[in-house]
Amino acid sequence: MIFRIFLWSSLIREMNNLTISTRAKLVVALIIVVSIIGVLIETAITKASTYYITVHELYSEGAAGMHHDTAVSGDIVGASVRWDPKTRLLSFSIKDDTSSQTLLVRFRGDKPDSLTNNWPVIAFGQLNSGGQFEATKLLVKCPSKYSAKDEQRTYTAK
Amino acid sequence: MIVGTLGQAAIRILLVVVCISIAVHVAAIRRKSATVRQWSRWCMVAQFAAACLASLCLIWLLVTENNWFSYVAEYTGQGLPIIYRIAAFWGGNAGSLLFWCLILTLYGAVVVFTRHDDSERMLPWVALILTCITLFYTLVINFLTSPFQKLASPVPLNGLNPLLQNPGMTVHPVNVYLGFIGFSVPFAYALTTLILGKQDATWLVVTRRWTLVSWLFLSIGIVYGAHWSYEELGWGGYWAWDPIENASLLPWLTATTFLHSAIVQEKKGLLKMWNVVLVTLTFLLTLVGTFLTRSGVLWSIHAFANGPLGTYFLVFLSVAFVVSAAIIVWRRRVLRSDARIDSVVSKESAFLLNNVLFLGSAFAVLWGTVFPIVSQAVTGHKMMVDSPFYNAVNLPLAVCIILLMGIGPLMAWRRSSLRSVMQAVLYPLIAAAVLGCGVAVVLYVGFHHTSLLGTLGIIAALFVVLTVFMEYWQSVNTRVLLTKESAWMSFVKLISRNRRRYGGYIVHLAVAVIAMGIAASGAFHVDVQKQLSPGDPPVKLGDFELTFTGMGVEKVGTDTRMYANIVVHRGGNTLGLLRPSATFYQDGQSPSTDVALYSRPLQDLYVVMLGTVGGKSAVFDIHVNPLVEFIWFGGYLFVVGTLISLWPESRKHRALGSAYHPVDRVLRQWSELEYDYHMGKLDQPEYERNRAELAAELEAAQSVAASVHARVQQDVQSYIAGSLDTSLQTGGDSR
Repeated sequence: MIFRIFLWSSLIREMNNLTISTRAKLVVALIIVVSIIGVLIETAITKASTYYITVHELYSEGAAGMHHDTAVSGDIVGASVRWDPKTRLLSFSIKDDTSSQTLLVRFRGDKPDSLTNNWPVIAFGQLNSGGQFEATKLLVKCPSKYSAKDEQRTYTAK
Repeated sequence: MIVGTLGQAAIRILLVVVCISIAVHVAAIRRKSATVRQWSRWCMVAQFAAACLASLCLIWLLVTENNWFSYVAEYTGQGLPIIYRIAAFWGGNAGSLLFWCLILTLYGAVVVFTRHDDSERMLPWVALILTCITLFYTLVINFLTSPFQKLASPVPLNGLNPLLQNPGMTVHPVNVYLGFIGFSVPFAYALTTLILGKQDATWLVVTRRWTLVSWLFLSIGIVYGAHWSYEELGWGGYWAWDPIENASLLPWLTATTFLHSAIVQEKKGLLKMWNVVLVTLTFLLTLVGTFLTRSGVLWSIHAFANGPLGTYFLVFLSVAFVVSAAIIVWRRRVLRSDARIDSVVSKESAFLLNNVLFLGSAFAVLWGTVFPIVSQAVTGHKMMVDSPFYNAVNLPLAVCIILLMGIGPLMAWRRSSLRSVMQAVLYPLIAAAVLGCGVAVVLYVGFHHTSLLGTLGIIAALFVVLTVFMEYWQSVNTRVLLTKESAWMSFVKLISRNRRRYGGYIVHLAVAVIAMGIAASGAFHVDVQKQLSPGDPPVKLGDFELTFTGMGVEKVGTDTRMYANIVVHRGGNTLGLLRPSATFYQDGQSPSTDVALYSRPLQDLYVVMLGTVGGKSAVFDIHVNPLVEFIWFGGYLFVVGTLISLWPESRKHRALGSAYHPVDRVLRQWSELEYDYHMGKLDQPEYERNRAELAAELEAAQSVAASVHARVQQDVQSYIAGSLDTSLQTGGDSR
């Protein structure tokens, strides 16, 4: 019995000697925290990233570019902006700077304050068979000549 | 006209002075002569004088609306109030770069006249590094985008965008710039320390105030910018995670990390290398931010090729990165820690965790911001992320950081145990959970939303509020017991004797208040969009009832304003009339909407008129945002806390604080230990163990100090003896 107690106590003493150093514990803890953050970023980025194409690229996809979620970027054609507050329907054309092709975008929702000519916009939505882009979300840069304060705002269809 | 020529001459002179300064600083470093060092100081003043002259000329041109100059024509307009004409100085690209030179040279001229430990050896290097940074901006305004570019003939003034004709324009960019530029000073000191191979923390003590002031400016800039965008842009929110906002947040995150880890180096001599890396990172991120805003690279990849400025910034950024990284690697041995972390459960490791969380958040923001560029380069597809990504990563991290903000101050330095931490944390955490759930239930009743993350955020914030109050309460009680003063007297003396600690706690409190505002308004707000005609039944949102009574039109100068009258009721009481409006401009600029706000501490009613239908009815966007005012209140409290923390301490305390003797450091750790023990952060055995270790350290430090002292004395004696010999040999005439 006494022998057994001695054995146990010496074993515990050995365990105590073998405990990993503070440094190692800290390193392990920090690695765990860093990997959690890494996983958080990774999942969020795969879930929330969208890729966008230009008007020209959308047209060159042909029929393959229709009826699925896409994001298109282009510059607003100022003269084409129409907004009907009653139906809350906004329509405007966008064009690329590399080609002369334009795309008609229709969007139901708030009209951004800043639909000025030549202003860049990204529209999220689908190209329908009529060749119109039905947008569900717009990303518009706010107009500002103050380069220090270029804002961009998201408008979501409701 | 002469003013423009003078301005152009001034920026040329600035370039010349900067080049001469570099030569003088190098001479001051090599020659080690007091006269040359004095010259090096006056060179910094000369730089500031030249930048000042150029700035005055530009302001003069803007105020007098001299349309011979393209910068003036682009950024001012007929009848623009004088304050916005002055604001145009930092509003445009070329002007803001001159403003940058002005502030940087001002900071440089102030810093070289400071005196501190080893200042004679350090300041020429600091001046050299700051001048090299100034050189870049000076080259850009001289050869790339001069604000004094004269046109062949006068052109009509362009006018300033009405969205920007807001007092925010005079406050927000200036604060962000002051903050951004200020981080150059700690960066220059950090590099100097490395170059000179200094192991001590002098640079941290000297630059603490610079870092804190820059951080304060940047924080004010960010919060004010959010407030401005909330009141002006009319989309119902205050933060959209756009690249420009992120550009100001990134250095703020790393600077906050640095402020915390600097404490660990000051107290314990740990994390030396880490601090240099953090301050370098902060400086580089201010450059990244400026690069992102100036190059247009983020919105469209094509803009990159169009703007040479972006390329220049990228080159400067790369040079700064390579040089500082090379110096850090070259001198890595200098920065070995004096000690090591004694225990996993200690304030030191809490600081480490804080650093990892902040940097994780900064990395996520940076990654999201540059994601379009990276994905284009790697996959050929332009990918982008927006708010859902940033929220998904940063909100959970923010909740962890806020929880840690409550736990950290309750932990003891050196060695604490899980048990005593649990003991300290348990009751406030339970209380915060109960209160937080209560708040969430109230919000649910009012707004019919539930949100786990929002509730956790509120609980974490309440937990911080409770721990800060406990910390104050216990400190005052302990002080009353020890000194027999009145509670009020103790409170005042407590703060004034230890401004850093108690100012810091007020900042923590402020951040908790801001976090509560963000959590409640982000997770529980409600909104509705409705077309209304006169006579329609009232719209109910939250506990408000809004009745539309009709439209009106008024003239504002040359522009036309169309407004809607909305009567607001709550619980049978009439609260008043709200007038959301839209302004149509004579000059054909697209119309802008003006938000109508009914702000109360607990909730905001926010109404925007989106458009009109047939002149009689209109479409409205109505939001009720709970606790959003807390964000702005928190912002004010934040300023107060930082100012308390910044306020110079009395001479007696300063003398103690600036000495970096090993014995002093052990003594200071000892006083921390006594404080922690009195505050109940340590139990008896932990306290005794820590005290025994400190006693041993003190003895060791004292014996080292004694032997160093003896050796110095011996050296001095032999030196005096030697020089006496020489002077005797030379006949004593050298005296």
